[in-house]
Amino acid sequence: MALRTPGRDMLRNVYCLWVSAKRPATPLRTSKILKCLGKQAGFTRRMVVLGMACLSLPASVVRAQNNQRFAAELELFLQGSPLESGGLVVEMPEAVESGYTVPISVKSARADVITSIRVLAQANPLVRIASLEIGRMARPASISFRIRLARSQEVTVLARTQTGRVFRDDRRVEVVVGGCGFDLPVAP
Amino acid sequence: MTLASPRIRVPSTARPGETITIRTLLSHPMESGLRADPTGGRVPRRIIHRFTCSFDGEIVLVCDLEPGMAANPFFEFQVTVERSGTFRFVWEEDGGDTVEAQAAIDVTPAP
Repeated sequence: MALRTPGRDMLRNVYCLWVSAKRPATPLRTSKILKCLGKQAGFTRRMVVLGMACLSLPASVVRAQNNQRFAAELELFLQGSPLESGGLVVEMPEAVESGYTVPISVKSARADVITSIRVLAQANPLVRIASLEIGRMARPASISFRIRLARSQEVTVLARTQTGRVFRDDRRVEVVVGGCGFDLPVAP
Repeated sequence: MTLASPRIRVPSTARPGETITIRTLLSHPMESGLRADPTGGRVPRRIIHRFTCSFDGEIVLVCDLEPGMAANPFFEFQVTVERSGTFRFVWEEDGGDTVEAQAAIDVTPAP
């Protein structure tokens, strides 16, 4: 399957529009921008308009909803255990061009035996990304995979040890263009 | 659509107690269920929701994947091997399709 880089194309396109907007000879209308953006991504103009309407939901409302979902996920994993920091080493790039594939690597830092790991993205429409169970042979844990990020945000990794301690580590990732596949709101 | 055949990389030999690195990759679009199709509808969710690695029946790693996992799910992890055996990898897709792969490893002490 051919890999596309929608992020890079989109960025170049936005830059071209910005350059052309500075020329007085070619007045730039909103409809033209929408059409051009839509053509690039393979969407119709109506979809781009709809998408922008979704994006223009009050940011505070979206943030509150996300915070609520994240708090619920956190509670679900903790089951009342206190949080500790320092038992984990999470590696992620500080900034990525596209949120479509973002590498993440999780290692256990101490001798504590980690039995399960959960990865949460605080500002994704679906907060939970992955739940891992670590078998005896895969300890101490050292696992890498790739995730999608909808926008710049904190990624939280939680790990439970055999003795019931829960470690937490957060990584801030700046995303230039959000991950594909998050156009629509979460189905009720 | 049938699932693509996965690509796995497991060393064929190791010393007892050695930590080896396993890499697996499966080509899959991981449709999140949150994507619009060209007619304005919703592309139905279709993801690999579980990846399992086991060694002669013993669970090594289980991952429950959500739509937030990137397309073409890739895993790289470290495993400590003590004896010869066979790794078995299973990917489960929404709707019940599965694809699996196996890799044998020969664990012998240094001569």
